[in-house]
Amino acid sequence: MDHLPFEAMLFDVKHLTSVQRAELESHLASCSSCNELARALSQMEDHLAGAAMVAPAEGFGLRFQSRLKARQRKAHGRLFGLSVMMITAGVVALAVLFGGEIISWLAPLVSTGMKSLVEIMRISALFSLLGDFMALLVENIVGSLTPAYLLAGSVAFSGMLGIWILSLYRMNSQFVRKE
Amino acid sequence: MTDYDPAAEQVWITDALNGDDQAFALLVEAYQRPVFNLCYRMLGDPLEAEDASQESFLRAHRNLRRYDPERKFATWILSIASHYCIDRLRRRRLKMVSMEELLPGQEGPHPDPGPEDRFARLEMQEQVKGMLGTLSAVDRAAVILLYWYDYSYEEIGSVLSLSISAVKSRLHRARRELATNWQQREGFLQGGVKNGPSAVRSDAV
Repeated sequence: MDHLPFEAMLFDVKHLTSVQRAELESHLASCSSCNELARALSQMEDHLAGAAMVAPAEGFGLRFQSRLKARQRKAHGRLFGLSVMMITAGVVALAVLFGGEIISWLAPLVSTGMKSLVEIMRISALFSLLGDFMALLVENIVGSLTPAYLLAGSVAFSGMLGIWILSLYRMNSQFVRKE
Repeated sequence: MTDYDPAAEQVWITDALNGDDQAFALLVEAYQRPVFNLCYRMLGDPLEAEDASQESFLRAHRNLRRYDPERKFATWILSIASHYCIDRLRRRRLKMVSMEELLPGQEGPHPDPGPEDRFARLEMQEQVKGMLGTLSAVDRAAVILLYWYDYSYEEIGSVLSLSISAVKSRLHRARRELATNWQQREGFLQGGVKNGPSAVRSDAV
């Protein structure tokens, strides 16, 4: 006897017509192997039905929240790293593609800057030369003066310096008084 | 599966889509048990099930914009969890876990069972794990969705991205394998024949 059609019926009992169901019942009554299979299927299903749905340990939601936050932090960090990499790559790509043009554009600016630097150095050299000249002049003048002239000059310089300091002091005092 | 109001669920989904993580937390609260149960039945290890269910919710959170409101959220989240567990099972051999490794509060609906009751239920979980462990990953997912979630062929097909005929074929094969294993285990082949029409379950699929 071909058991396969009845076996197929056995695993789809819910969708059988009343005629098919009667055929199956009749077959099971006469076929011990199909009957054993039907009984095993029934017991197995009862056994599975007896296993309750399991729940996670307490605090599942809180653990999820913390994992979600950690994952979001990680994603933000990855995004930041990616942005830095993209910018670096962009700069490198620009340098490779338009490096020549950028250099030719910057060259006049660099040239102007260099010229300004040379000017500054020239002026400072001039000041240095002037300083040397002044030192030489003072040395020669002081060397040619008599002690009496030197004393008179020193007194005159000290007097002028004193008058200047005194006037500064008075101006300051007047300002304070006004305030 | 859950006692939550579908209208409230839609509000949570809309709020979550607008960036409200607290609204998504409510969805997690509502579906943590079915998702964890599916992962536990698939992987057989509570620690792995915890990790897999957390990962499933993270994927759901990341891909929430792809969620089709016409579809039930339960089907969508279980689909994510099923595919994740199937991938995980394909990547590794199922690790055996001792009964002591079960996390507290995972054994069932009773909050404080006695030692005998606890042992009996743990033994049953181990037996169920052993039975499901003989099936391929996709067949196992189909069986779990059929017996624990009472899903129709259409819903199982939707969750596992299979056609209805493929679901029928896989379930037929898986249930036959489970029944045969049960026969061998209970000594049906060696034992006496128990004839009678009562062998057919009226509520069987």
